[in-house]
Amino acid sequence: MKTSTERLKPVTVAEFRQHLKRYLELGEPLLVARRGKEPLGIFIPLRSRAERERAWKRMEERLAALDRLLAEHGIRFSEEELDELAEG
Amino acid sequence: MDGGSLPFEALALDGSFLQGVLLGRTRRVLAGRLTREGVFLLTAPLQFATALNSVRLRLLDRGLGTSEVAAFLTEGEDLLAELCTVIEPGRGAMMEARNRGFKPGKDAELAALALELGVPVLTSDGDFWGRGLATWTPENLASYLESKGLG
Repeated sequence: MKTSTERLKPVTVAEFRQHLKRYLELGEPLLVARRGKEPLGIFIPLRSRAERERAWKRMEERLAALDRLLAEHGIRFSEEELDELAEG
Repeated sequence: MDGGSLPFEALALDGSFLQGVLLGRTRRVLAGRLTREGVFLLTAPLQFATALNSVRLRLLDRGLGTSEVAAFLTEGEDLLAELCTVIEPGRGAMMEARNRGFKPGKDAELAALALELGVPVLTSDGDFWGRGLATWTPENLASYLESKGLG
């Protein structure tokens, strides 16, 4: 397994052990891999409920801005259209 | 995740769910619930790219100008990247997915990722059913969350 977009940062076991405190503070998921190649697992730091609520609120506001952009051009997608698309 | 109230801690999202988050209401609400419950959301690179490309084609088809489409996609990509983590599956998992009948370039990447990480897939695509993968549809997951008081 490898990350293609650098969004999931790969670290070696040695790096993970050495910099654990910093990784905990960063609060981002990491791919822990033996010698940086063989994946051992994904480290997912837990966020507090308040942090998660704040993160979603930020995303919701940005999604609302996208809705406004579409609404300005009279574009709206029905749930039925999206359901049909999802059924493959 | 609070109190282990869900039967999974991570969930693999299919491309049409990602499109639905950008374009519709129902899937967006579900994405919000999962995010607030602390579920680790992930997807495969192909599903991520295909979702954005499909959104692009839909918006152009509806007559949105190319600069508006580009602006929508730039923001949309950034948003989806915040919502979920993109991970490429390994070769072994890809072989396993192919052995189970998943087609590369379509569903195999997401199936392989789910197999490799042992996580269920959120999808309405019937091609995922009956192939030894745990799946949820947005509808049955929404009902489940409702039944747990998380709706």
